[in-house]
Amino acid sequence: MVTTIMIIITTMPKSAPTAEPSRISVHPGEARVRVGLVAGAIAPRLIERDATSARVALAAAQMLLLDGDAVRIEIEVGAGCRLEIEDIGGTVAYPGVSSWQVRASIGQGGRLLWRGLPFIVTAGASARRRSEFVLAEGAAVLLRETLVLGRHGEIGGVIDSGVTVVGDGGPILVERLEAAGAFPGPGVLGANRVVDSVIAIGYRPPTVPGDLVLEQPGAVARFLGQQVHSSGLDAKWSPWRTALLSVADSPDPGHLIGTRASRTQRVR
Amino acid sequence: MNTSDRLPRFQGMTVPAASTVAMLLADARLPSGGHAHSSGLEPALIGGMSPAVVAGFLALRASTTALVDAGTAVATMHSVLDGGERDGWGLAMVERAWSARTPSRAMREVSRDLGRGLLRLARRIWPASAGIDALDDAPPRPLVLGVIAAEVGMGSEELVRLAVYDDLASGVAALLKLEPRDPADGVMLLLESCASIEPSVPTIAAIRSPDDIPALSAPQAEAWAEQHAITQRRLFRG
Repeated sequence: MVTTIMIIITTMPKSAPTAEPSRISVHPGEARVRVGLVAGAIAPRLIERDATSARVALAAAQMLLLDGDAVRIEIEVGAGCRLEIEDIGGTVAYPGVSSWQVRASIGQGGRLLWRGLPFIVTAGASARRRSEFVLAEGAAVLLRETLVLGRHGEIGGVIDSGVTVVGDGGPILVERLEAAGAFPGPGVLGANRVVDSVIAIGYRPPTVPGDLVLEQPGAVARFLGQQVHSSGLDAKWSPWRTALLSVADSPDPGHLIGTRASRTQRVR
Repeated sequence: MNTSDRLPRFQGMTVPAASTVAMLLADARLPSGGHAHSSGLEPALIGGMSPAVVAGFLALRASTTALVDAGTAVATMHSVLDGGERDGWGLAMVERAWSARTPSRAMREVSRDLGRGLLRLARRIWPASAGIDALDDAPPRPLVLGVIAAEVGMGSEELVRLAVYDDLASGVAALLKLEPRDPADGVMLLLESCASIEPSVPTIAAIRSPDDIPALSAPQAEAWAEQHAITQRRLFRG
């Protein structure tokens, strides 16, 4: 028995800190929203809150992402609440196999804004990302996701990154990117090592030619290139955030998801 | 499975075999407007892709966009055959799953352009088909392929290969016009890229629920498609 315990301790040194998911929840309160924070590999920290919204910063509680790490983040935004998340630093997937999983559920009329910082997949790393957002009627999300294959001057590792956003009437955006720094794929990333996205779902942000306008209310602005600092998407965040917040001020049903979904709603 | 009750009623005609219909649908001579499309190849070349990497482009087209379409066609076929459509939600859910996996509006419009041409022809051939009749005027191409497959009793794997082959063959035909080369090279490219998805064929053919349609994306091709949609100098619609 002693031997068995020793094996567990020596072969899984990092499993304990990354086993428990980090949790962030925001729910309606009396004077201010109720915020629940549970630290896992990622430690959430409350910056501010008021009657309807909260701002939370995310920082790594340990060195991430090492071989064998499995980071999980669970987010719950209650009806009518707004949660804005900011990353304190980017994330580096070091050589080895690691995963990063986000699951978020946003209640009726709720808003989640997450301005993510770069996720860098170093040479020799195989990183799997899964981000799943489930939106109730009238809910909306605004996300920034920046994937980088390799640190500067380095041929990056392998990324398998999936984003799924489901509304009350069915899926709105389902995509999975598979790419490897060593095998640039024409049509997928080409010779680019940076894929930067601002993803707005649940409302129609102002778009320009080149933006991906989804069939359901939502759009994706994307930059493919060599350097993160060449991306112009920083400038996209503010107008798309403003558009999201103004939807809340004028509840025009045409801007909200669920209106076109009535005929499919009953199957879920 | 009893297929006799969903075979077309051709009055005074012999009912065409499912394989014949598959060949017909893959035939570039089919009068459905497919010749106006390059399956993303012209957008790629205008977007700056080197013709030297066209083999890689076609293989990735096969494993991304073409497999989304193939999975959508299979889910459509089962929606019709399993009676989902009778309840009024089946095809709408399949179309929604497809559009969620096709974030580029330019690509969706191209697919609906192809679907419209194919549907016009299908309505002439199978006027009494409930599955074909259930579609709007401009459904995405894979939905039309799926309802036709249901109508004629096509096998799932044959449908997957048809959806992929037809897409890639349009790309190769366009390549020969845009970057002329030995047509036999085009044939080799086509067969190689079709063969590259063979390991996935059984999985895609087994799809029942729209949730299981694959979702591998091609962000660079999406960007090229959006740019191509607003360029003036083009031979193909997409």
